[in-house]
Parts: sequence; structure tokens; C-alpha cells
Amino acid sequence: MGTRTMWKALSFLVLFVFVGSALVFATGQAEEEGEGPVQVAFDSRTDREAIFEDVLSEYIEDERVSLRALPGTSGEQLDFYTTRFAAEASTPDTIHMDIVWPATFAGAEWALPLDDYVDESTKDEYLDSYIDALTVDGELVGLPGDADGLMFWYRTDLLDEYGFDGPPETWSELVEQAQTILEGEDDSNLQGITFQGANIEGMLANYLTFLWGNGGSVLDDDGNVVIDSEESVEALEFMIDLYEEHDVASDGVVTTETDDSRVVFQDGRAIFMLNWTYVWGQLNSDDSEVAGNVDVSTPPAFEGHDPSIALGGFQFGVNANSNNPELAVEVIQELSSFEGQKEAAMVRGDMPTMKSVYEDEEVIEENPFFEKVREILATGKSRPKSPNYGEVSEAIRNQLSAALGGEKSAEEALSDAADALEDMTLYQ
Amino acid sequence: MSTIAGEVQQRGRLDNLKRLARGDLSERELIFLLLAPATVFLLLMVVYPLGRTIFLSMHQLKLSAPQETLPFVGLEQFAKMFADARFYNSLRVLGIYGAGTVIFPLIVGLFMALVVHRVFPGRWIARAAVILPWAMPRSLSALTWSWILDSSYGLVNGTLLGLGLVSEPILFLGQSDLAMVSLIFASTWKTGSFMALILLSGLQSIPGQLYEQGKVDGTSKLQAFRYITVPQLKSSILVALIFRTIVAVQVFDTPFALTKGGPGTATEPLSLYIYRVTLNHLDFGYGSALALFMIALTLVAAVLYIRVLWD
Repeated sequence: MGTRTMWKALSFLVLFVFVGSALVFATGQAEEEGEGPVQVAFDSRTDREAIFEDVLSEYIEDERVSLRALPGTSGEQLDFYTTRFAAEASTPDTIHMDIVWPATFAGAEWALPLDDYVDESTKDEYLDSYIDALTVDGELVGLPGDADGLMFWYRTDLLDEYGFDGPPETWSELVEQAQTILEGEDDSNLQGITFQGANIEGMLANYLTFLWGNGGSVLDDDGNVVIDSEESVEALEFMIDLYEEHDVASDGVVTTETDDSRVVFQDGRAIFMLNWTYVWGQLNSDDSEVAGNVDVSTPPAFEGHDPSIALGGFQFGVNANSNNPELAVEVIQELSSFEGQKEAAMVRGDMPTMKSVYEDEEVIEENPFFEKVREILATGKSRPKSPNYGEVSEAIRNQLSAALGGEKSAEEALSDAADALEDMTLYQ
Repeated sequence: MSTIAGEVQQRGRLDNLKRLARGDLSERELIFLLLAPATVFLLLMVVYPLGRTIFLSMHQLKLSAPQETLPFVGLEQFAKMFADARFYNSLRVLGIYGAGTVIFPLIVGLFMALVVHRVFPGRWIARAAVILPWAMPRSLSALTWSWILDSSYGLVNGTLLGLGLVSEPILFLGQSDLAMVSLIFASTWKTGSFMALILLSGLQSIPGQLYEQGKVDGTSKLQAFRYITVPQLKSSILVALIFRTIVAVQVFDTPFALTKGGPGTATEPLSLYIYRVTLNHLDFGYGSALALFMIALTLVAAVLYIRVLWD
């Protein structure tokens, strides 16, 4: 290579580095000026794409909307939004929020307040608990998407066979039914109940089901931390007893994640299960061992208490740094509307958060279990709210995980959890 | 070139520019030019982030409370760090993991290197097999192990249960001691081959005459290994150990994919804790302080490495 060529090559290289870095900054600028379509991010697990393509088809054709599918767990999706929004990125323009995120997104000023766009009468069209979950410090920061809850699934064929007329109403009844069936079936692969004991967000919802069903709570009415109460200890000890003493759950439940439970139950290897409603379709699909033999109800409670389920679902929000907030709001209004929710119910069996969709004949015909599920949803409660929700949830889960794994006693773990929560902002 | 440069210096500035535009460069100028792209790159990708991390570690930046704009807190984050039980736990995990995944891969790697160093039919298959785990992405291999070791559908438990060797599945990832053992095991499987590669190159540079000479003197195979192979391999072993240590200090993907740091925080090394503090707790200030501590740890290993190589 001659000196001249080398010199040329080098100047290109230097130019490349400078122009490259200039471009990086310039694109940041260009993004802020905001032309081009609104980017709509969505939870793409279990075939949600079709809903967004259908509901937003006109926008997509006009190139006013582009879709961004997010695979992975809710936690991984949160990582995606966090890295984008921490850098004040203008995309994605809309957010598909897990129900526990709004307080964090509002606190960090990532979600656009929507009070200017939504009036009170519109709010009344939705289930109260979802408007409540999306209201942070009196400000609405999102529009309701789909409803979900950690529900109680059971095998109707096995219950019938052993002469039980319905699912257990109390936890001691559950132990009794499970032990009877397990003894009769004598199948070492069969478990009484499967739930999520792995250290994932869903595990907290599992624990709350036991806690609330024993009259306990994380916070009392005045907002004091009471997670170390007698009711809490009793609830956690019972969860452990399910596999330690009553032998109706597998020891492996401490590493069981959401879909692990679904797989075990769908294989016909469990009588009862706590899980979210996404399982309904799969449990009744062609490759399910239990199709047609599954029903859903509220979970059992402890003697003398009423059951409550933990609410879930993915809601819609708008990126506060969006270049085109008007269009972004319009898009999530579309998704959250009667038509949008009906489409989601028809295509994927997503449970609506808009009351009137439950009255729609076509929807009910397609999803006959909605009527029952709506009653179960009515017992729903929200997980505690916090702008530091990730930290709060983790502080509790690390302790629960230690207790479930036998590292600590339930009492010790919950008192440590209460200590950890003491300094954190937390409200119901 | 230097004579040309000497002449040019006497002329005016304009001529100088003309010369530069022509591409006639002195050696000095060429050096700067050659270094420029890498320098710019390093400034952008290393110096700026490092400076920013140091800046953040002395400020409070919690994204969940953006209203408080970056108050200066001095060394408060570090005080918090040294009083944080979870920080010490993450160091303990790092210590155990580090010791385990330096020692065992070395033993396994040495064994593999000795095997594939021998001449035998089909040696290339064995060599390919040795390299395979090294070529696999770490997170992928960890994920694979998490499936193999799973208690409800894992291959290991399935086999043990099927053979009737155990009556209940073993919770490899659900008990803290076993989870740590599983983590070290999976890492050893993954990194043993890297050790083997370095050690194999060391083995191949040992002159064959040494062994022939040994034979003449009547040494046994064991003696040859002890008095010829090991001393000759010493520098390769050191290099392998230090490389391995630096990577072990920074480990993130294997525990993240295999145990998620659980049960509880029993297998949560420093990097995983930093990730949680920054991305889950949104505490970039404290996260930066922790990250700086990790940089210091890595530097110690790196300095060790440089000293060994230069000696």
C-alpha cells in the first residue's frame, strides 16, 4: 500500500469515527423532531400480535403506526422499557404495562399523565380496580387493557371420580381432597397442587393469595407494614406445609415458574393449580391431556375468611417523551375501546376491563367462561403500589424464597421482610 | 522520510498543509494518525462511561424520584455499600464461585489438554469436542443446564427417578448449597475447554527432547509429568489462571440464566446485584458505587496479570 492510499484510508477512518458519532447525536435530535410512525410496543408472548395488527390495521396501512413485539418475561420487558426510558428515548411511543408498573412509570415521569384526555364518564366504563391500578397520586397514567388474575384451576374429572361436588372452599379441604385423590390414584407423577414458588414476580401474587385468604395484608389501613403479622406467618407456614407436611405439593415447587405449572397441569400431573388466565386456551387445546376436564374458581381461603385473588393484566400507557403524544394517546384509546377489547376477547380470549364487553353476546358465545371469571375477578385485589415497586417486590420475594427453600423460618423471613420494607415508599 | 520532514520544517505553514494533504508524513505524525481512531474510540467508549460512573457514584440518582436533581452526596454511597449486608453476601458468593471456577476448570482443562495432546486416531474429533463448550455462548449453556437440572422436567432427575436411584427429585437449583454446586459445575463445563486450549498451546511448546532425555535417564511417566510437564507449563497455567479470574470476577450470565441468584440471594454475585440495583431498583447512584468497586477488583487481577507477563 502506497503512502497516499494509506493516508486516504486513514482519513476515511477518522472521518468515519467523527461522522459516526455526529450521526449518533444527530439521530437523537431527529427523533425529537418527530416525523414518522408511532411505535407501539406490546407483550408478544402467546400470540398477541394478531390483536394489535387487527385493531390498528388502518394506522399500520397509513404508516402512522409501527409495531414492536417484546418477547420474554414481564421482568425482561421491564428491562427493555427501563433502558429506553432512562435514556429519555422517544420510542416506543406507547407502553404495554404490567399492572404493577404504573406507580414506577409515573414516579419516574416516564408515563404521560392522561387526565387531559380522559373524562370521568369514560373512567366509569371500566372495572374500578383497573382504573384504581392506573391512578397514581390522583393522576391517571394509563388506560385499561386486559384483565387477569391468579385463579384456582382444578380437574373436574378427578373431583367427580372421588365424589367431591365442587372445588375446595378452604385450604384444609384442599389438603383433604388432594390426599384422598393422591391415595386413590397411587401415581408418583401426580401432585396435589402446583403453584409458583420460584423467585419471580408471580411468586408474590401466589403468596398474597394465601395471605389475603387468611385475613392478612402487606399494609394495614393506615399504611403501616404488617407483613410480619401472625396471619402472614400462618399463611407462609401453610404454603411450606403443603410440601413439607401434607405432601400434596412437590418439593420442586420452590423452583417452579409460571409456565412450569401450566406444563405440569396440562400433562395431567396435578389436581389443582394457581395460575393466570392465559392457561385457559392451552389447557383446552388439542395437545392437552386435560382438555374438557378443567374448571376455574376462586382459590380456597383459610377457615372463617374470604378468598381474594391477585389482579394482573397488561395496560396501556404513553411514553412521556413521545414526539407524537396526540397520536399515541389516540392509538391506546383505540386499543382500550370497546372494539379493541372485543377484538382481543374474540381473537385470544383476553378478558376485558371494560364492563360492557362482558355483556356482548358474541363475546360471551366465544368465551362462555367469562361470566364465571368476571365473578372471580370481582374478588380481586391489587398488589401494593410503590414508585420503587421492583425493590419492594424483590425485598419480599427474597425473604419468601429463603423461607420456602428452608433457609429461614417463616417467622424470621417475614420479620426480615418487614424490616426491609420499613424505609421504602409503599401504599395500597 | 525524516529528510523530507527536515526540509519541510523550514518552509511555511501553507506548504506544511500541502504536504499533509499529499500524504507525506513523518514517522511521528503517522504514529499520531494511526493512534487517533483507537483513541477517539476509547475516549467515547471507556473514558466517558468511566468518568460518568465516578461522577454518579458521588451523587444521588434514583430514577424513581427524578424530582431530586442529582444532589452531591460525597462518599455516602460508599458508606452505604460497606454497611450493606447484601453487598457482603455478593462478595462471599463471588469468592466461593471464583475459587471453584478457577480451580476446577484448571484441573479439568489440564486433563483434557493432556488427552488431546497425545497422538491417537480420531484426535481431531476429541479436539473439536474440547472446543465446543468454549464456542457456545455462556448464557445459552447456562440455560441448557437449567433445563437439564430442573426438578420437574429435567434430564438428570428424570433419569435418576427412572432408574429408581432417588424417590423424590433433587432440587439442584432450589437449595442454596446445591445451587452453588450446580453453578460451579455448569461454569466448569463451560470454561474447562478454554483452560484446555491455553494449556494445550503450552504443552505443544515443550520440546520433545526433554522427554527423550528423560527416557534415557529412566524416568517414569509420572516423574516426567511432575518434573518436565508441570514446570514447563508453569507460565501457561499462570496466564490461564489470571484470565479465568478476571472473567470469574465479572460473572453475570451464568448465574442470571441458571439460578437468577437464588434461592433468595444465595448465588447472587456482585454483577447480578449491580444489575438489580440499577435496573430493578433504578438506583443509578448506588449502582455506580458498586460498579466502581467491581472495576477495582478487576484491576487488581489485571495488574497481577501484567506483572506476571512482564516478569
